[in-house]
Amino acid sequence: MSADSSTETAVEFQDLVQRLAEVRTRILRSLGFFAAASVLAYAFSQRMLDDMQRRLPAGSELVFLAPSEAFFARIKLALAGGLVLAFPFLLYQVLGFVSPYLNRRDRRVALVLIPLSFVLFLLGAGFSYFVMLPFALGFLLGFGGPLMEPMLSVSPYVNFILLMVLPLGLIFQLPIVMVFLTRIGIVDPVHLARNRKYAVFAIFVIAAVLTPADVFSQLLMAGPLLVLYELSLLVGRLARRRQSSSD
Amino acid sequence: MAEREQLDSSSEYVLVEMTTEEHLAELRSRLLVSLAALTVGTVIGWFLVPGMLRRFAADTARPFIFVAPAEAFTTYLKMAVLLGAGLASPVIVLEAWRFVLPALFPHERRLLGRYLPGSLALFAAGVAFGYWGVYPVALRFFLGFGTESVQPAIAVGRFLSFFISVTVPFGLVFQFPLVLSILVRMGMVTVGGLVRLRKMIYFLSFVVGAILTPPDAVSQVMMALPLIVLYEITLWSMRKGERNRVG
Repeated sequence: MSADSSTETAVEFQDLVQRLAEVRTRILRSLGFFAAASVLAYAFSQRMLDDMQRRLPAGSELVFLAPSEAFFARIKLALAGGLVLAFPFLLYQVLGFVSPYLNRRDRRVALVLIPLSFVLFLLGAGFSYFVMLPFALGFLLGFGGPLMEPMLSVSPYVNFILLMVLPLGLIFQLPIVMVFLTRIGIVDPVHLARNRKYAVFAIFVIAAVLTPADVFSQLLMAGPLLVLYELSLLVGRLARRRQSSSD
Repeated sequence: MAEREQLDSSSEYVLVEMTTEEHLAELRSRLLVSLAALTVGTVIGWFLVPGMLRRFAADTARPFIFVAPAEAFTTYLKMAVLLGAGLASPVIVLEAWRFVLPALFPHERRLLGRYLPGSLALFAAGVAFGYWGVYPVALRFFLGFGTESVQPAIAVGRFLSFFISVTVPFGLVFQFPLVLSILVRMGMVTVGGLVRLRKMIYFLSFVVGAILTPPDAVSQVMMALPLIVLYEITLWSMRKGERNRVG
């Protein structure tokens, strides 16, 4: 009997070691993805910067005020781009690790969700970059008037753009989060619709935290968020109806 | 309310009982009034900012630049809020005074009534000294280091920080005479003791000047000298007061 339990422990221990080894390889692989994607992004970083400069009102140029500033701006761009590119692969690594504990249906849903989430991220980031950004820049740079002339330095400019683009990509995940929360029964679309005013307040707070520190970009971010919230409610309601009809 | 004030001003101390809720409600209404005053002040300040900017630009003899996309906007906003705070300060001080009043014994009230106007006047005098005395000298000193090959292009956000750092701290250090006379009143030092501490106080004036102003010798000296003068004036007037009392 004692021999039996000790072999059992030994098997469990071996299992644990295997799992840990798997974690190790998956972490290493993820880091590898991230590094490769960052190198790739670095190759395009000059072109990204050039394009960012073209978002400025005509005639504006970027300067750098510290000797290393331009270099670090490109490194920052490369790392941000690398993270975005590698993210779906990182999620697949996480999924691969937990998939033995999922049933077939959940696994299939997760497999579909990852590319869907990536597409939503790109949509949000693209919306921010192509629609919101020129709008915000036009306002902010025009604000100076004759007494304050823009002479934008590259590092704050890149920070500004990243702070405007990346959060919106994340925020566009809201419909997925809502469907998920509705399915597992944490939120209820009817309840959410009834408490809309709290959501509106929360959205403005989130927009204030996520954007560069000015009221204008906060409003620019809160607008799409409100639309997304309503969209999520709609999707959540559909999910709820499907669920109740299938039950 | 009128009746209560009458009771308070009588020589006999009358405790006016208020429940915690009443105090909280009063605090709430006083905060709301202060906030409203700040808002109104900021709105008025918003329209005063262009004139102020124009004066600043004239002081530096060139238009400002801004290096971060939102810098012009946030600096403008900061200036409006600062002006608003200045405009609203009488209301805010009055509200604070009225809130604290019921908690004080009559003799404390008399003491505060004697020191508060002096403190405010000293603060105003300090800021005025910073604005008309230190700011032009410091600015001329620093801009004087520009040459043919080193040209100034001053970022507006940094200019505002500079401006604040050569004005507001003077309002604070000008409270020095008040601190001295309170210490003497409380019996923590005697006038004779202050005289013996003269070397120490001279030294500390320079230390304070180094800490509270931008890191340069000019504004340090320009803060240390008035501190020393204030110290001597305080000493002189206290000695005179003592002599009068004796004589």
